Amino acid sequence: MIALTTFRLTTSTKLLAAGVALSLSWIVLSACECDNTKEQDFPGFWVTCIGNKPTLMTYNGDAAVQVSSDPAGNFNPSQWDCSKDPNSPPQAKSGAPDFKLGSPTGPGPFARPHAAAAHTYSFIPKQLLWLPFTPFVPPAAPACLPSFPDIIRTNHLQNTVSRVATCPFKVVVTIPVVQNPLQVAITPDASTAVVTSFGDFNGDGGAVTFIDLSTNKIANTLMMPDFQTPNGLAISPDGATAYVGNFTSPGQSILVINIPTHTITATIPISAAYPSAMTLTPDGTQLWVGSPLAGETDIIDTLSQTTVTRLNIQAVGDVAFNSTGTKAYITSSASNPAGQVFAVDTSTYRVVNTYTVGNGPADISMSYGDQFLVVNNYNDGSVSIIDLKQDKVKTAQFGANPIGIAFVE
Amino acid sequence: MIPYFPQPVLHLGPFQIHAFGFLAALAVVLGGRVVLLRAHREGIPAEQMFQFCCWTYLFGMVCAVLSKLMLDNFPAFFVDPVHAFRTNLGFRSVGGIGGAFVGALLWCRWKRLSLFETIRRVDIVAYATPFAWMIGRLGCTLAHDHRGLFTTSWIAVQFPEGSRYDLGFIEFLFLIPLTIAFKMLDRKPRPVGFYFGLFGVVYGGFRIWLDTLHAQPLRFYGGALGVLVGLSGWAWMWAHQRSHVAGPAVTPAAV
Repeated sequence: MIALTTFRLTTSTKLLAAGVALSLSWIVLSACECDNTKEQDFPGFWVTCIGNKPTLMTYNGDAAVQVSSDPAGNFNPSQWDCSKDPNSPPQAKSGAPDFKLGSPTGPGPFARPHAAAAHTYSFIPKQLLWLPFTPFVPPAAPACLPSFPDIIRTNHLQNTVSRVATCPFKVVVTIPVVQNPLQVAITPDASTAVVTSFGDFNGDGGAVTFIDLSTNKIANTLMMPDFQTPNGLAISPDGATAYVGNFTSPGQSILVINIPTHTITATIPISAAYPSAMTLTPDGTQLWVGSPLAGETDIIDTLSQTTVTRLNIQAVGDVAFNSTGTKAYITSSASNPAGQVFAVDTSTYRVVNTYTVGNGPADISMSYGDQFLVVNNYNDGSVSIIDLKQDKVKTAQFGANPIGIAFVE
Repeated sequence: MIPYFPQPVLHLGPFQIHAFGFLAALAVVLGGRVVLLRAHREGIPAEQMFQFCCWTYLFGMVCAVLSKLMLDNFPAFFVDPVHAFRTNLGFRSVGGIGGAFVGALLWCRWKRLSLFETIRRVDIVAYATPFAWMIGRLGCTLAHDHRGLFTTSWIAVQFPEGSRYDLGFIEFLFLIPLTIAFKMLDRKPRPVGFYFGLFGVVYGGFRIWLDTLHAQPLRFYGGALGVLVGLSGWAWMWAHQRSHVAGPAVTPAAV
């Protein structure tokens, strides 16, 4: 082996070597060659002036979005001065909380995750647009009605659940929950939100959290034994029972949880590994459990708590039913480039129709009146509308990779 | 199906050393060592090659950072470059490779080296690149920072949000046989430009394929450019061999 440390360095080489050493130090301590979104890099909030109004901002993915210009949580616009410049970092008055200052496009200099304020807010998905070569222009506030419902959403990476009012858009409260919350469902009487938390990925720490929506406080947290990782979730029409999929396999199962008493009343073992999508028939008599990795959909009788039958459909995404529960519609991303939606007769469990949709269909939702099914296609960023009366499918490109879909009726 | 696990982090007082950062720095150091050993074997002065390495590396790093700043959101960079620099610091590998290549050419031009000597040095770096890149991509594998499309493939990683391709992991797997192949090919003397062309064509081609699994909008330009540059390198090698009956060749040795 050659001794490489014996050669002499000139001054210019030493300077270059010092630059290399500095660069390597930076890499070791803070750099990453990653596809992180700005939201992941800076999961906090900052305050800026938009049209002379102090506004709380955060990132939604890579887009800067407005959280609120009205008082919300510990953000009080009167504690910030935007009189000097309409679109610049504001002056903080005494007593203002420790939010970062910034512009409409991002937080201030050297803002890092550890410098972010506490995660007391969730983002509001208003779409702000980057206009090429022109200053940022905030959009007009969306029209809304007082009857608009609140939204409960999980903030997976922040380990919180947020309640968001939609008229006007404003985060009402953010509640810390157990690590990595995944799904949330609300009882029909809107009294309780049930949240599944996956845990810390080491096989322990999963939980099911019950939030009292009248007080916005946690009523109970049901910690799971080791290697039980709550994932999918469905609530019975009477609001008494939650069905929670235990994702980790082997040992996969469906936990039957009594919501009023916050106790596990039964565990239904299933054969398919990694259960994920859980959907109840409208009358609550059957639970359809999609396991995309196993290529199976287990159909469980909720009364006898036994598996009735299994459908072999690869890469199941989600299940939706018509209002009478006679037809089930199951998304499958197994075929490429076009995904499929299978219509299944719920009395015979046979596929009676197949619809070709976009690439990677994930979620599916049925409109009132049973005429339209809407499907979001994760891989190609499109949305497909299935007209069940005319038996036609239209797919339109929207970009990005959508997850979650619902009708505003 | 591969389980997901969080990136190991070493806590040293106020500092946090992530596995990615450590392995990326280790890759640079080990890659540099492979380059210097090979250069020594070919009779290139160590000090000169060390300076070449430092220059090439720094040029690559600057371009990697600039490419991330500019390509991630060019309008934002155009409107306020200082702000973009403060909020979007990071680097992009394609910009780093391209920048290092351009930096190497500029250094050789500055030192008034012939085209043959230039390609000889670039060839040495190209030979060492898979060794270093493999270690760097192991860091990406641990950091899970290149999330691909959702899939049910056997090679998918069970991310918390669903199983999907981990592109850093796939690239790490690809680089293992590529590194072994380079090592085995080195048992025989190869003409100057051979490894440069081989790396460009094979790695560029792989990146084109890998981009089809990318969750973000497809960006084939990096891989396509790599293939073109690699083919150019081979074309030069072929032309040079035809014009020189007995050109210098790399002698095999342990690295």
